[in-house]
Amino acid sequence: MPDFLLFFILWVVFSALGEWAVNIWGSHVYYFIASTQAVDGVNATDFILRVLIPLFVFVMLMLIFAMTKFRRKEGDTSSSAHQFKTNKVYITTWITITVIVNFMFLLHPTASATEAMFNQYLPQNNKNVLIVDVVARQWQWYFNYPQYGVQNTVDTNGNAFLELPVNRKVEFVLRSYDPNHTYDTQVDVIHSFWIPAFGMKEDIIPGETRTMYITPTVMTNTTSNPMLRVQCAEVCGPGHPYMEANASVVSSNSFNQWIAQQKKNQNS
Amino acid sequence: MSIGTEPGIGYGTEKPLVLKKSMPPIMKGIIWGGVGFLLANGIVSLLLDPQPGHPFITEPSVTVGWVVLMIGWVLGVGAWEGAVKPAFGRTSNWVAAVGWRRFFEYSTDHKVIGIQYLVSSAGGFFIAGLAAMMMRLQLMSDRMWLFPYPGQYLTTVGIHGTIMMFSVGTVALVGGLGNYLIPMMIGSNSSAFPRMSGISVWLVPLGIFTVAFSPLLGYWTTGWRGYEPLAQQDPSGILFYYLGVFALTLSSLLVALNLTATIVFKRAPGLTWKRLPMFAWGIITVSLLNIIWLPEIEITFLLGILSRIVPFPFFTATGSPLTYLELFWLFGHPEVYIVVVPALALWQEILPVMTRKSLFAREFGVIGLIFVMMLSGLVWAHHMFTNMRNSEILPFSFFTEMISIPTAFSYLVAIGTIWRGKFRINAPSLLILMSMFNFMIGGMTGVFLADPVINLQVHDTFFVVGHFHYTIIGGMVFSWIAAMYYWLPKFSGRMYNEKAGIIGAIWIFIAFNMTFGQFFLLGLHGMNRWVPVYPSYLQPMNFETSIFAFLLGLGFLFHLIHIWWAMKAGPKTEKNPWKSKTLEWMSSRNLAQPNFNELPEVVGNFYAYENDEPVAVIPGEGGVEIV
Amino acid sequence: MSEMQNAPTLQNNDLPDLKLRASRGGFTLLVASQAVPIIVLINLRYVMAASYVSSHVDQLTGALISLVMIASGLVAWLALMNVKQRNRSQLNRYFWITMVLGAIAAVMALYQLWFHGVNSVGHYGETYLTITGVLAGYMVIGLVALYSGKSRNWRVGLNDDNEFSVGSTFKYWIFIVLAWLIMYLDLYLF
Ligand code: HEM
Ligand SMILES: [Cu+2]
Ligand SMILES: [Cu+2]
Repeated sequence: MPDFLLFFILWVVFSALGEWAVNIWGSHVYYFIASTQAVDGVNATDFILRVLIPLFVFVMLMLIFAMTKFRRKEGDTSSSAHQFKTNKVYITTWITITVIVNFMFLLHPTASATEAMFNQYLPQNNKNVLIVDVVARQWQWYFNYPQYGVQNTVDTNGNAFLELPVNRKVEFVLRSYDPNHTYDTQVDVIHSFWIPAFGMKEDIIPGETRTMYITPTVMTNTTSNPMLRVQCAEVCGPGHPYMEANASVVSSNSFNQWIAQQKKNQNS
Repeated sequence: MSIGTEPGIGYGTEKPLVLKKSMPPIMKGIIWGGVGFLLANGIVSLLLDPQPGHPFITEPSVTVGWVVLMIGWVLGVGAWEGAVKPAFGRTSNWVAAVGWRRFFEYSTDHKVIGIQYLVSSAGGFFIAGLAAMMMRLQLMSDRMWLFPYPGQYLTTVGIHGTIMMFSVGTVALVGGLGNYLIPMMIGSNSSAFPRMSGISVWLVPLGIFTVAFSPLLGYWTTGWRGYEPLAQQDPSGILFYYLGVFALTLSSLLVALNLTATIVFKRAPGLTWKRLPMFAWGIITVSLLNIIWLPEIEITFLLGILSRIVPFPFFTATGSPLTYLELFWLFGHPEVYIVVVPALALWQEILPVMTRKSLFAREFGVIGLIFVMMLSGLVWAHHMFTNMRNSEILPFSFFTEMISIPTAFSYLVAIGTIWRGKFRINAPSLLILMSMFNFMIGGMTGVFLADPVINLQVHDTFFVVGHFHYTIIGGMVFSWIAAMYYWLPKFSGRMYNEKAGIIGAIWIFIAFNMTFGQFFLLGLHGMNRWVPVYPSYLQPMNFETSIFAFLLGLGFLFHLIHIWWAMKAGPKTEKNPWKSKTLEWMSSRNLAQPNFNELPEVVGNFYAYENDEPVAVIPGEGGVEIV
Repeated sequence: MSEMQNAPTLQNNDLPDLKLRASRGGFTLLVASQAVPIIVLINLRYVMAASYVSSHVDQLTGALISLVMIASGLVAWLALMNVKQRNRSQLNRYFWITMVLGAIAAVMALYQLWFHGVNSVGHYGETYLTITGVLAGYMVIGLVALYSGKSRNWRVGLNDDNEFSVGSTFKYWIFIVLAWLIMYLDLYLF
């Protein structure tokens, strides 16, 4: 069989196998997701994986061919009989494919998913959002709910705690400063607000205010699924590893009760 | 006519030894540097800038003291006698040492300098590798146990990354292999500026030691970026980060100036640009990157130092906190191509020899390297998707995705060369295939990272750590080891043990993929970076990843010992065992002789295997020598 | 690329004229790389302080430094024009004049650093001090280079081998003069 026919058949077979595997596992690459925004990320990953599989198989097969089909026999010192320095068809196809694949990725998922993310910021899409003020300092999180007049929410142990109602869009307003030493502009550093299950993070920059939009879709909490936790993702000094907070996503009823409880704690 | 024996750079054995050195140059360097440090530090801390309580070592004094130390060290090790005195018109009493001593002092022989760079780089690799082993040891548990204090772990991460990037990634293939091979490959007896090159290599050990001993001044937590505003409130150890990296980047800058001029101006007759070896193309493209971007990061470090020791509020909340990161990555992204471009060139150097087939689509290999070089300055902000303005995301995403096109040309060339070749399986060729495999994974995960919505999830996690170790270890370190085996007969006239080489290659291939493949999974599962402690659900996988990491470390050690053994005691071999056609195989490896007694004239294509016609002729040696 | 291919075939890569070309090329690259920090600093000035100029800045000294630098640059340029004549004592004079003028400028720049009226924790002030300091550093390096050129000219005299490198110390000084002038316009005026 001519080399390239064998190669072609193997390429088709292994690519098909690869696609089949992506079909099964592609939507689980994030392990656990709990927001609409994370779904966008998984879809993008899945799409890129599907496109890359045949390209990957192509190169891998070639490496295997080098070690098998094109392997030199023991004692053979002659040069290869197939000497060619160029091949127009191969080069043109190669370049066309890489260019097309890249522009396709640029349109989708890059531009399309990014547009979807930008749309989250439009005022008309933010009529009924829950606003959560997030303050990062070394090495602690503070959560405030200005719409409810609740500040520094805590759990029963007195640790900072983030609670969110399911299926309601949240606007996180992110700031880095030290609420206890507001006069000192030199102490602030960069932090990054990340909840792994939500599929998104945003850095918190001293002197700036940033926002991030998330719509939680799954009711769970840090204890039962640690991927739902608030985690500082940008190194911010020796306390960085400990800059975590517990969180939970609950029904809107429970959320209202929780807010009421927090209010009561605050006033007592 | 004998060429290349400039007075003062001569080949030791030809002259009788008239002058004995009063002490070994390294001792002299240490003494000059140490005394210089004490004097300068004392003057600053006691007279110019006394601090309350009069501590002897203050931040300004240690900075100034270190600069004087650097100068004293370099001068003492030989630059004073060998280079500075002649530059001021005085006669130099420098006598180059012979035998092993020549490796322990200033030298102007590019082969000696290349070996000095390679050994320094390998030393850096093992110091930083030890740091990696300590990190993995700590990460076997989800609680603090090896290090009592998280700052120590973070300093270890920083030392690891810094020494790996600036003394291995940027140095091994360029300062090391470049200095040794480039003059031979282009048919010259020396590099363009041998004195400068002789000085620059001594900055490498100094830089490595400065970074490795930075904890003397306190644990710093920023990692290899040394990034502001965090650096400003770190303990003073961060100063030794800035200063050590300054020494290392200065060294690479001088190498870049020297090798660029060498390639442009010292080519043998007939060696046109069309015939220039691929490795020389790789070196000249990264050198141009170095010439632009290393001064950029050096001035940025100066801003970092001034922010601390004056202090200036450049990067605080009232200043521009992101400007440091912008400036860092403006250099930092070209830096990663500085690491990998010579490795891509090595594929194209070694594959035609091992397949005995002409290099396919050579011009695309060259174009690929050049376009990677040009685009690499346009993509820096893809390290900053999590903190940039939304309006800037798409352009950077665009350029980042586009850079994969010229990068893929290396695969186009390599695959075209392999196709229907007669692939000879041995340690170097296998390692090149492995490098292609690893870099493919590194590159493909890069496509995911270039996509903003995915990036916002996996940035700052172990996914990214996996990605860049695949490109750097997988791409560059594997190619480096391949090159060490491939040119071992050139370096030493001896051969390695093929079985040991292949077993070692398979060993590190498996250990590497099992280690860093799991980094991707850890990252996707929510493991963030720069943490000695982490949620307990990640512990089992971390434990097992560490085991493979230790195996990988041992595998590298195995290669080091094997290569060392082969250089000393391997079986003697012929001059050109691979029957390669490039010029370095025609030259003399003997340190007491010039590369070429008569300059060769290049008359053909180094990578053409359709016939056995000579590629180069040496006029003096009885007509024509066939390579 | 194709132009370079048609360049005269490289007969012998150690011939003096090729050595000269290598030195020239290397020197050009060196100056290019030395210009990079200047570009970064110009950017920094606008990032940190836009085009603001503090009213406390010592305009008179700044202008004087620029005048002295221009004078030293002109002398260096004259010297460069005359290097080919290989007149040892004439060139020595040029070296001295350039170095004395340069040293005066450097001392004045250090004076500006020490007795500045600007606020060092303001964004103009920090940029001003950084840039002035960096340029003072360049001047010191330039003076050392000039001194090496002077010593070689005086002790060894010019020959085919060192003519370019001795002359290039003047070129390097001219580069520093230009860098100072650009920074002067940038810091004191615009
Ligand atoms: C012996 C094998 C190696 C192992 C097991 C290893 C392991 C690691 C680990 C665990 C981290 C910390 C990740 C984090 O918490 O952010 C890290 C960071 C890093 N490594 Fe390696 N590494 C190895 C070799 C290398 C090599 C060869 C290079 C480059 C030439 C390299 C470059 C880096 C860099 C630049 C960082 C980032 C440091 C930072 O965050 O500032 N590593 N490595
Ligand atoms: Cu933080
Ligand atoms: Cu942090």
